[in-house]
Amino acid sequence: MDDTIKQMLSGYHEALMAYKQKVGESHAKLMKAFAIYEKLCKKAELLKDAMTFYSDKEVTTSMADLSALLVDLAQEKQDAALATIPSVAQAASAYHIAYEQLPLNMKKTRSVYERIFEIEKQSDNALTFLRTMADERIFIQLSAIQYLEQLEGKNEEAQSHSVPVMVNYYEKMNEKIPKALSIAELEYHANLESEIALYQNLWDTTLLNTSITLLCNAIAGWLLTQSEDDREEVENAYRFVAHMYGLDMDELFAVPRFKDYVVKVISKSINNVQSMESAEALITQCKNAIKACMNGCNPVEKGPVKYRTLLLWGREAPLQILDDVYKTNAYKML
Amino acid sequence: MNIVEELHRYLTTRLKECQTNQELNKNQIAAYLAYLEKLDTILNNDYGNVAEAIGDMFLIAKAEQLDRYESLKRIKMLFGDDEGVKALQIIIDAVQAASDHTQLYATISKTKENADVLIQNTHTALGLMVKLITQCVEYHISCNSRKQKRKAEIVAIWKQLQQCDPEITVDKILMYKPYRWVIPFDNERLSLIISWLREGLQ
Repeated sequence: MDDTIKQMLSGYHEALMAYKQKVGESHAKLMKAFAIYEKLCKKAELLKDAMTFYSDKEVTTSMADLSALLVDLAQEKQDAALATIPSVAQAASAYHIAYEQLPLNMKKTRSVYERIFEIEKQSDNALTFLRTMADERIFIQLSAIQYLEQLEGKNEEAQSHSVPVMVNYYEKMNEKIPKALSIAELEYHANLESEIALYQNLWDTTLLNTSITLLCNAIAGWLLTQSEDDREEVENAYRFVAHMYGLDMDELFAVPRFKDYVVKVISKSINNVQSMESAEALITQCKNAIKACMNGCNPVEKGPVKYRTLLLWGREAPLQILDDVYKTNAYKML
Repeated sequence: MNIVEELHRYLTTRLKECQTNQELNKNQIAAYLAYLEKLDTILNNDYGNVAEAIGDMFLIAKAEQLDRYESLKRIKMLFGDDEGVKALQIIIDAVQAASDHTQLYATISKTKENADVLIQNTHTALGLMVKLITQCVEYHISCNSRKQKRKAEIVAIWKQLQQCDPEITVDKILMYKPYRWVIPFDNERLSLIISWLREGLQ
């Protein structure tokens, strides 16, 4: 029998057995459900591959009927006389499945699971198991440690790719997740930080697109063709950037955010290496290109000094300290 | 083993955990308190009575989902994301209406699909806003021979934006918070870009 069919049938079987304990084996709906389940098992033996099985009309109808019956059974009340304390194996089974799927290198998370399995061995039933898990705060620990372990090494990666927004995201997650005292709090911070990062990343992209990338693209075009059209675009791009950010080219290439991007992204993509020397050489080349394109033109007019400050989350964002701005502005708004 | 005592201890521990943040765990706190109250009425150690009183702890499962989606909605509200708020309200309403575990998870997976489309739509619109602002600037700096091509690109992005946000207008860019959160300029500088947008759309 195909593995997916086997898995699906075992899921149905598990559910039916649970309902047997809930409503009793003589319950009419349960008996009907068992009959359909047996019919599906026979079909699965006959139609061995998943494709044929799932496209069989009788199978589709049976599965729909069975699902509807399971929904009905879920709404039935527990028969008090039949109720037995769930076994520890039942309560722990989901953790075993999750553990098996966990990558081997997630050692910290795996060790939390291993503690769960120790508790499982020491527990007589599901109640003791869950109570011990709650006493040891395993539920929150499991979420927190898994979150943090997945983030390991990401901060350094974001720094090396010049993504300050993500640097802030990883720092904030590392700071807030261990302090969360409930799963809802942990999820709230994780979702909040991810929403902040989403907006800030787009903001950062708009900034780069309308400043350093705009200028460098124009320069690259001109260096390639030396045409008047491309020269004009370098001139226009420089005039635009100088006006919008209140900076000349020396000041522009010295803005820490822009310089970091040139060193780690632009220069690296051109020179295949991330080094300050090659980035400095590229910056000099860019400045020389601008000078050549502006030769004989009126000098650029810088925008007012106040234009060296942008707006992020409705608050002032000085260009010189954008790394700090990414770490503070959003939180002042919240 | 004293079943009632064991369960009482479990529920109390989880309740205390939730009480560390009353706002984010509002529904779970109510659910734990409700079960603890029911448990207090059981006078013997019979699991049948316990199971009858607390069932399969559906109220807790439902409360966890409500707290989860209400907190996500709270985040969307903080950012002024109206579409995101609407999307999460769809899920919250469905969770409220669920009356058992099977229905709860089925309804979440069904409504989440629709809600995710709305949320994704907002994200796409934000990405297009970045492209639009960039394109307006590129139009402004372009040489005469490339103006028409860049103008056409502005129109193309604008049309895509209209698909995601049918209420988009040039003024909305200035007013709508989620759009402003991805634009680094004050009104003075943004007005300049908007004037190039108007020119491009003519």
